[in-house]
Amino acid sequence: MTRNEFMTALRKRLSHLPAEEQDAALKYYEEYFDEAESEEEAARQLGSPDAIADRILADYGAGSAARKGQKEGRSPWFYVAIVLLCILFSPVLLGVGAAALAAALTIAAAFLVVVVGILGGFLAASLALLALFLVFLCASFPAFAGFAPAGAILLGLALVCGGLGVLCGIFTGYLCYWTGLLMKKIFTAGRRKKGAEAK
Amino acid sequence: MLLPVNAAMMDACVLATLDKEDTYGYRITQQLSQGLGVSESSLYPVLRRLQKDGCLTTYDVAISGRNRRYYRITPRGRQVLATYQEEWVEYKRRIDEILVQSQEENES
Repeated sequence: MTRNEFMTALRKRLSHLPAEEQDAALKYYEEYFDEAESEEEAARQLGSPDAIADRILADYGAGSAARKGQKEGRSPWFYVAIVLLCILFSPVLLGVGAAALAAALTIAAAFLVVVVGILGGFLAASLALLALFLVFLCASFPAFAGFAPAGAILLGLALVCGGLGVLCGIFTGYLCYWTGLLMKKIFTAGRRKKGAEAK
Repeated sequence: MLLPVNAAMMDACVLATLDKEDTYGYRITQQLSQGLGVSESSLYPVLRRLQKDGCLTTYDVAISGRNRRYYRITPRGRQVLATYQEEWVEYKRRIDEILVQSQEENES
């Protein structure tokens, strides 16, 4: 490769750099050829102008990226200001935090009350129906002794109440089971979310 | 050389060379590429980086109808060089401790 070819190739590859950057590199390599004993010797020593250009472009990119990073990096004062603001507004932040916690607890408590209320209601209903079954059953025996149709009516009522009571009890059991599943789902979903955040 | 000369070592050697006397591109490139066994093409990036970091400055001297660009070490360059020299002594001591002393033990 001749000096001309070398310099032309180098100039072409560096053409996107700022003029100052190009001039410094081209001046160095022109001078290198000037000083060298022969053109061929210098070209042989320096090797590929593409490789040289790649290195210069990479160095320039790294240098400007580093300077940009410095410029865009936040100053320590930014962090100091954040900390000071946090301290200054700590009563407000604590207040907001406490309010949020209270709201969450209230919602959880309300949920619990509703669930327990519904379950309790069904349980009470089934117990009441079973109690009625016993009452009508007991009442039917003396009634049979006096007036048979009255006894039959009371016995029928007892059986109806008993049947409803058993159904109600079974339904209460299912309701408990479903509530348990729901709670488990909510709990595991919360844990999974926490796990994902931790990652 | 089997062991590579890294960028910091190149910086240190350029600064040490300039600390003795001002010199120009071709000369320092020849000296160090031969002295360190590195490619001639690896010197320009080092000189440019040191110049940008304020460790050296350049000035042009007219010579036989053209300009020759000389490199001169700055006070900051001397500070950096001093740090490199201290680092090198420590580095050499540590590596010697592991590499050379174990060899001596084997020989004895």
